[in-house]
Parts: sequence; C-alpha cells; structure tokens
Amino acid sequence: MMHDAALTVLFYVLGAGAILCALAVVNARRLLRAALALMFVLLASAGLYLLLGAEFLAGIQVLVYVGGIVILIVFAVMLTSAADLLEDHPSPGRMLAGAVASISFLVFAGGVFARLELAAPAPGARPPADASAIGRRLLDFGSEGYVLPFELLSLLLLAAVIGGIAVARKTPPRDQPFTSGGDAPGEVDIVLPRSQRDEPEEPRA
Amino acid sequence: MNFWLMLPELVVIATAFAAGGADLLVADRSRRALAAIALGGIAAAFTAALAAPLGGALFGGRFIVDGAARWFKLLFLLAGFLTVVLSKDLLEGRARVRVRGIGFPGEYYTLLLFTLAGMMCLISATDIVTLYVSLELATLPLFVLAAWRRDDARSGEAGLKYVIVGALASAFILYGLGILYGLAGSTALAAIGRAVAPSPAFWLAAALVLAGVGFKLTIVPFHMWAADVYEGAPTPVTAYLSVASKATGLAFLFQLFFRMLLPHLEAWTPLLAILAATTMTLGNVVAIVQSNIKRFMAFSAISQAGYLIMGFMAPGTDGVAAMIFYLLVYIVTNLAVFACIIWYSNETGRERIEEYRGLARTNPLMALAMMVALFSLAGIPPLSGFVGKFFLFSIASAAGCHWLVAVAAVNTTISLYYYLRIVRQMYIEPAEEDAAPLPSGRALAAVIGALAVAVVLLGIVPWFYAQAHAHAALWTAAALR
Repeated sequence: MMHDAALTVLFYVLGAGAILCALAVVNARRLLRAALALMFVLLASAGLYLLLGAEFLAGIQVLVYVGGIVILIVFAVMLTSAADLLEDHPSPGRMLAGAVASISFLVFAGGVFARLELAAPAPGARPPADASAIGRRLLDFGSEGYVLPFELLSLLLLAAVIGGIAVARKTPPRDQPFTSGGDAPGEVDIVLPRSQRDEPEEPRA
Repeated sequence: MNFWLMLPELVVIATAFAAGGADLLVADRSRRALAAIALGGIAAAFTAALAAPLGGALFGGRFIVDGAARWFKLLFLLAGFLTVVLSKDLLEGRARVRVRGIGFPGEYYTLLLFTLAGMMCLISATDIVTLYVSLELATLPLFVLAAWRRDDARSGEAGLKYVIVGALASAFILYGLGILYGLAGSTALAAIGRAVAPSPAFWLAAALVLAGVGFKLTIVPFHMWAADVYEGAPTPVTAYLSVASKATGLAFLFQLFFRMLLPHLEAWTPLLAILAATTMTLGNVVAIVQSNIKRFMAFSAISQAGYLIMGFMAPGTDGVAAMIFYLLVYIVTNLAVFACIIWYSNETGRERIEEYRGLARTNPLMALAMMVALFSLAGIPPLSGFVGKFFLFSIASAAGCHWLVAVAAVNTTISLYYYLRIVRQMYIEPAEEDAAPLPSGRALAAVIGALAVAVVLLGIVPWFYAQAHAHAALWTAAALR
C-alpha cells in the first residue's frame, strides 16, 4: 500500500511538473529557457513512462528527445545570433480570445475526464516492455505486429531528411566548378512583366 | 501472404527511390528523364491498382484493399500523375518566366511520390497507428513542397505557416486517437467502433480528430491557413495541395466515419450539415473579393470541401458513391483550371484575375478549356460538376437536411457569379493592344485538352458514376454486414 501511495504521489508530481514546464516553454521570453523547460517536460514524460512500466520507452525518450533533439535545439539557438528575439506582444484581443478558447477547452476536457472510468487493461494485455519483445512486435507480419507502420515511419524519416536538405540547400553560385546545372533555373533572374512588379495590396481574409 | 495487394504502393515507393537515385546519375541535360520516370511509375501503379483483386487483406488485416480503397488510390494516383505533368516545365526551367530558386526535380518528384505512398497506405490502413503514420507521410513532404521556391519569401511563409498549422492538426488528431485507444483498448478501427459507446469522452475524442482532419480538408473554422499557403506555394504544388491534400483529408474522414464510427454516424449528421454549410458559405463569400487567382482558387477549394463532406450524411452506398464521384470530378475539374493557371503564369508570370483579360482573343482554346472547367466547378449542367453536386445534394436531402440543400443551392449561385468574373475577363474585356497568342508546350496542352474533355464526359457518360456506385455497393455490403 505504501508503495502504491508513493507511486501515486510520484505520478502527480511528474504530471504537474510536466504541465508547469510545458507552460514555461510557451511563455518563456528567451528561446534558451524555453528549450531548457522543454527538456524538463520530456524528462517528466520519461518518468511517467517508467511509472507505466515501459522502461525501454523511457530510455529511448531520454536518449532521443532529451539527448538528441533538445541538444540540437540548444545548438540552433546558440548558433543563431538573435537568440532572445521572440515575437512581439500579441494584441489584447488575441490574448483574450486565446485565453477563452484554451480555458474553455481545459474546463470541458477536465469535466469529461473527471467522469471517465477507463477500464484497467487485463494483465495479459499489457504491451511488452523489454526491447527484444518490442523489436519482435515491430517486425511481426501478423495481426499483432507493427511492421507496416514501422516501415512507413522509415519512409517518413527519409522524406523528412530529403525535405530538410531541400529546404536548407544553398543554391551555389554559377561560376563555381562542380555545381550542378540542375540548379540552372535558380540562377536566372525573375523576368516579370511590369504589371506584377508593383503589386497592390491583396485583400486578406 | 499475397503481396500483390500492395503492389501499387510498392511501385510508387520504388519509383520514389528511382527518381531520387536517377537524379544522382543522369547528366544535367537529360534531367527531364526524371519526370518520365515519375510518370511511368505512377502509370504503372495505376495499372496495378486497377488490376489488383478487389478484396483482400495483408499483415493480419492491418492493410486491406476493397472497393472504396481502390477508388481512392486511383484518384490519388490520377492527381499525382497530373501534378507531375504540370510541374515539369517549371522544374526543368522551360517556363518562359524563369522563377528563381526552383528546380531540383529529383528531390521534388521523390517527395511527391512519398506523399502518394502515404495517401495510398492511409486509405488501406485499418488501425490507428498505421493511419496516423500514413497521414504524416502524406502531409509532411507537402510542407517542404510548399516552401520549394526557396528564395521567395512568400513561399517560405507558406511552408512555415503550413508546418505550424499541420503540427497543430497532428496534435489534435493524436490527442483524439489517444483517447479513443484509451476508451477501446484496441488500435483497430473496427474494434474501436464496436467497443466504444457514445459518451462525453468519445464525443470529445471524435471531435478532436474531426478538428484535426478539418485542417487538412480546410473545413471552416480550420481553413485560415489555406489562402496564404496556396498563394505562396509554387503553382503546381498549389494545384496538388488543392486536390491531393483534400483527398487525403477526405480519405481520413472516410476511415474515421465509415470504418470506425459507422454505427454512430447518424448522430453526426447535424454537425456535419452545419460544418458543410458554414464551409461552403464562407469560402464562397470570401472568394468574391479576391484578386489573386491562387487565393481565389483557395477559397473556391474551401467551398468545394463543404460540398464534399455532405457525402458523409448517408451511411450507405449512396453516400460513398456520391462522395467518390464528386472527388473524381473535383480532381479533374480543379486540375484543369490549375493547368490553365500554370500555363498562363509560366508564359507571362501573371497571377491576378484582371490580367486574364482578352485571353479568348489570343488563345481561344485555352480560354475555352478554362471556361468549361470553371463552369463545371460552379455546377452548370450538363458538365460533370453539376452531376456530382446533384448526387451530393440528394444525399443531404435524403438525410432530411433540406435547409442544407437550400443553402448549397444559394451557394452554387454565388459561386457562379465569381467564376464568371474570370470568364468575363477572358471573353468580354478587350485584350491588351500588343497581345500576341501565347505558345504552349505539347504536354501541358495535351493535359489541358484531355482534362477539359473529361470534365464534359464525366457529366454526360453515366458509366463512371455507375462504376463508383457498384464498387461502393460491394464495399458497403461487406462493411455493414
């Protein structure tokens, strides 16, 4: 009983910590602080995974998200000069609208979840926690396996890599050797008719 | 295991790799081979999807092929094929108006084919994990494609806005799917549908998913990103977004409503009717005041999405058939309009509606094709748009929403007004003094001609609708059993 109570307390501590840090992520005025708060959100969720008995997932969470992604974000923040440039203060009307929308959703969702009785999963239905069983499930062709989403994810990652490079590519100057002529259209100046050069304001909706 | 069922997807994925790999190998001057590879692959996948057996499952039922899935796949492939043809000139630098920072056909086609693969897996998925991953695969490359004109601030803005809105939509969908999994204890769509009883948490989950899909499908009030993204993205990408992204959203909604919530679908009719009515009304009213043709088409596309979701108001064969048929009509018609827009902007760099004036004097055939397509979008008989709208309106009417039919009819009239604005510029306004006929590439001209003919044929030949209806009937017979 003592053990259970401790776990429950730990759950609430981790949950509240995650929510507070998440609020700090969106409210921080400096990007670096937001990144740091994000790291604590991810750590707290790793703790929640541990409480659920998903040790492998918790390890991966720390390894990939905390160790990889947050570090990358911090690098990016450090490398960009305008590190603490954040958006201007939104107008009061917008802040009010945002507050009303989010608080009403919070109240509504909270009301729904407060009355919700979720059945605890049967002991056998609990997903396997050790790495080898997860690996087997990921590559299982049968109805219990996840080979299709697993392979689709690999395509998704590849698409993200190609896309990331395509967005971040630098079109090389024409006089450099070894550049690809496939970039040729990128080298030509825009030849626009006069009617488009001084474009009047579009009505925005 | 019968992997032939997956052949269309595998062909598309293999083509994506082939296009990306060939980009490394071919010489610069033979770079147009990449488009040929992409077109050949999509055509092969189309044939494979036609030839594949009409029923079957893979991976223990996690991937199914049925009548509805096959129709969606054919539509996705059609949209992809046409988009590659429309993109070719711009990417290979053969447009008369050179645009800075576009090019890289290999990466472009690879990403385009990846989105196709994602869409095709999406409609065949039967569990929420595959469904979500496929949705991401179908949309994530689109963010990049929207920002493809790297040196253009508007294109960058389009990509950034799209990525933020897309992440928000994904968060909504994931939250909703997570609650559904918690309620049902299963990831299989059919099992979730059987296990959950209507309860507040269930409605919350379904509403969250619906909101997330609403972003993809540009349903009001989740439409606000569309105009900026459509305007900033390169025009072929805009064309692809307007049909393929809509088709993806519709496919996801199909999965949600028909494969999962079929027993509870009737409870959704009032909400769907309100969403459809607000979507088509807002899209139409705002389209009237647009002066950039891409923004104009964005709002036109929003209003068309309002018509499309009317098909979900009947949980039977008719609803599925009407929706699939209208999607076919919409893809053909909208791409016909966009093909004309792309041709015109490739040749002149013009994107404003009043700059289309006198097109009928200089290029009568192009103007005719565009007029036919615009009239079909407005729903003038006997063009296909009229037939498609007629079936959808009859669905709404059969569901008892006569007020929605009235709203839709009023909207059709409004839309006729603003589609006529372009026709007026082309036919009634005089051309500029020194206007000369503009040349057109063979591929683009052939596509525009074929699409214009298809717009007419789909309206007067009942075979297509009969086929859609027959396949939908096969599917519903299996699903409702």
